[in-house]
Amino acid sequence: MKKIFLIIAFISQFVAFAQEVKFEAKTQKDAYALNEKILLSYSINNDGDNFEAPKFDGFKVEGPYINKGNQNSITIINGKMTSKREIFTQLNFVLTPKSKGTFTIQPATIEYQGNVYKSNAVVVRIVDAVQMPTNPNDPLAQVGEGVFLVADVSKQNPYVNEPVTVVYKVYFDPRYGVNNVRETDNPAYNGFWSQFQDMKNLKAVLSQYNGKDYAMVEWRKVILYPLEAGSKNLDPLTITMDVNVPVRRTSPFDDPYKTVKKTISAGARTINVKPLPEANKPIDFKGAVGDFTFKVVPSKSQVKFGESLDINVEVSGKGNLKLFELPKLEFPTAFDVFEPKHNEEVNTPLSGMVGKISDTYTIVPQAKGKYPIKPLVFSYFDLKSNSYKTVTSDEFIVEVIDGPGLVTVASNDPEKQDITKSETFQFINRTTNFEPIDKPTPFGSTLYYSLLILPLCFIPILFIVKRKTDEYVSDEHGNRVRLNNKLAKKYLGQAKKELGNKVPFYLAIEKALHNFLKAKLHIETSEMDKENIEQLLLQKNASQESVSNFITLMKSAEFARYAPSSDDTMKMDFDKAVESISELEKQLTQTKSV
Amino acid sequence: MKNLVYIFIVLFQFSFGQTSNESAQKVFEIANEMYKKGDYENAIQKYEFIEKSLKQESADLYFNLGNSYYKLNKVAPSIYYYEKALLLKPNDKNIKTNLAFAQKRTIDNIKVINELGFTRFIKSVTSIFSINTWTWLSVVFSVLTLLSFALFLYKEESNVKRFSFVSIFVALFLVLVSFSSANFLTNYKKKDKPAIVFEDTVEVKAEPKEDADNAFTLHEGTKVYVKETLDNYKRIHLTDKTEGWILSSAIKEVR
Repeated sequence: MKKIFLIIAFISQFVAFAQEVKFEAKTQKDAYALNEKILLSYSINNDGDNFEAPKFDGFKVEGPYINKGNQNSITIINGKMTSKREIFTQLNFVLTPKSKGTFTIQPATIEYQGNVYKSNAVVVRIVDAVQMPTNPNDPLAQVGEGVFLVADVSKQNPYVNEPVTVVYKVYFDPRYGVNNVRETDNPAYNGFWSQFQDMKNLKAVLSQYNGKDYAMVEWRKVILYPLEAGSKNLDPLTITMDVNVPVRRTSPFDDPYKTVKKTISAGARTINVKPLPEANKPIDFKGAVGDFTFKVVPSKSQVKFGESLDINVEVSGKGNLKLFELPKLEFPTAFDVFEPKHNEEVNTPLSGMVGKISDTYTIVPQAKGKYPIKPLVFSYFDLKSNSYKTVTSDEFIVEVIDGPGLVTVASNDPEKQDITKSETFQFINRTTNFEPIDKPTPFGSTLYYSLLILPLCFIPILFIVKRKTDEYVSDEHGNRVRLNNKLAKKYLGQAKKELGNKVPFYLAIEKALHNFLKAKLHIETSEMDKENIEQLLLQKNASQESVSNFITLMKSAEFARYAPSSDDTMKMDFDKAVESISELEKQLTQTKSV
Repeated sequence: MKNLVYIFIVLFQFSFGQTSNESAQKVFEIANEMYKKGDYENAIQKYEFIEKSLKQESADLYFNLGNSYYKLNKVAPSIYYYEKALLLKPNDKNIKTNLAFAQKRTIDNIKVINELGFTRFIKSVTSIFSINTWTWLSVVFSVLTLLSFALFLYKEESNVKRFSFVSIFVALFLVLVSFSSANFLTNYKKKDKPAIVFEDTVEVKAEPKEDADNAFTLHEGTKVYVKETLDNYKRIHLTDKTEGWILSSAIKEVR
């Protein structure tokens, strides 16, 4: 591995020796003035093909001028003669610098016998233009003093959108004749809105410059509106002209003038554009700078339904009229609005744009009524007072008359009621019922839920009650017992009322007793003989005494009906009946429960 | 003792409520007179006194406020009060008519995209009555169910029995309907937060930040729905379902 490397190194050295191709770039000086021309030459001590020049950024290039030649040299040293023949190629460029600074010209390449050779890079410094050495007899040199171009820039530190004028003036010695003037380099004015002022007839005026008299021609006037803040470079304007210079005549037949072609340029300037102040900048500021009046004027304030109406939004005055947008007018939905027509009547004299711009809105009302049109706000920066000004237009009302009322609202909502033609704006309601705001809603409260659930809870209760009553009703035996019990009490009560009336009293007592027996012993009236009763009662564990009492009472009730009896006995009998019934009742129920 | 205090408070509130209701009525009449004379500014002052100081409200009050603002060419407040009135009386024709008049003055024309059929049906059914009406209706129907059941149990006539049997189920069904309507409306009220744009022009942002992109621009009087709040921004959607964030101060919630 190491060996191979060594071999390669050796061979390459050898080749280098054998060929000895030199390819180099050279300039005469390191530093050049801006108005000097640079001769850059590439030379190769051999023939070369496919020369490739680098890019000459920042220079105007002329060339290459190729120069080929060979050179024979004979050297005699100590009587020994060696002859050598050399071929060389030279490529020359003439570079004209465009701006100051240090520039590096990248290497060029060339091919020779299949190998590509690279030249060295050249560093050139371009410095300020220097006064060229002049030859007083050279007419061109004379002209250099007598003809020049001046650019008058009205402002060095304008605000954004503040007009700046640049006047290019050609001064020349009044003895000279100037003709065939043409612009060779037209500045682009990047970062500016620009407009040329046409100079229709160029007129030379006598004028002074630095205390000397010159003829002056205003060649061109330009109005610039800086579009953005920052330092902006103005490109120079370059004009070329033929100058007729008077020369000393050596013979009367000589032409007294010598025509010289002269190129002059001026106006390379840096303008520092100030941004508009941020403080107090209105929100709706749209870049208007100058002095303006603003108005919004409808063509009429009343409009018939279906007729159109024009509303004119107009800004007039002095300033960057073409460079800002007019505020947009907005309309209620009751109008059909067409795209506004934009109209500009702006003149641009040297002092800046003057005139008016306007937007005309054509609107067609769709419904009757009074519609307020919101005021428009227009703000601009006033250069005189260096402050923002805001103009608000008046609010005005467009009244639509004679219309058929509200026509159907273009609504696709079926829930919203479409308004029919006959409907009008409704008057206020005269009566009302107030309720406190934030009254708690009953929904969700415990009271509400109990009120809701309670009736439903009653349903099963009702159902159970009904079942019970039904059972009760359907229980025949029990019913009879209850009925007889009831009747017994009823007749006893009747007896009490009839106390004193013998027959009905004892009838009632008897009925009461019978019914009592029916209830207690579950027997029919037909079965009611005394022995049977006694037996049954005893069976039901009634005491002997109360049973006999009862029987006696029954008997006495039967007799008493037909026998005379006093009120007292009746009373006694009633008491007895009550007593024995209650006694028997007690005993019978006792046994039942036992 | 505590109970006594409660009773006192309740009584006090009750009596206070009565008086403010009465004075509200009086002020309302005065304000109506002012409206009739064309003195809309003072009418508004009086109407708002009822709302703000007496804490009394009614659909008519809001309707009249909307009218007064309409007469003064103030679009946003008039729409705001009409919408407020509509919340209390969702189907009032006069309110809807005048709201449509006021909406004619707005600048934004935003399409209204409806809910799908079923939701719309539910909404239209539930909006027949207010929450409170539905609430009491459900109680009434609950009682009616009980009565029909009682009728069914205790009446022997076959006609009555047949009728009451059917009416049990009808009433029970209506209990369910009115209860779920009240429930639906209660939930809807929590979710549905309409608001009206009060600023002349307001940029709706894509994000709740000042330097966020502008999604779209809204103008005075446009109705939006508030979805959520973050710092001083509110996420809204329009009737056409467009969404964005708006400064809370630019809108006023109707509820």
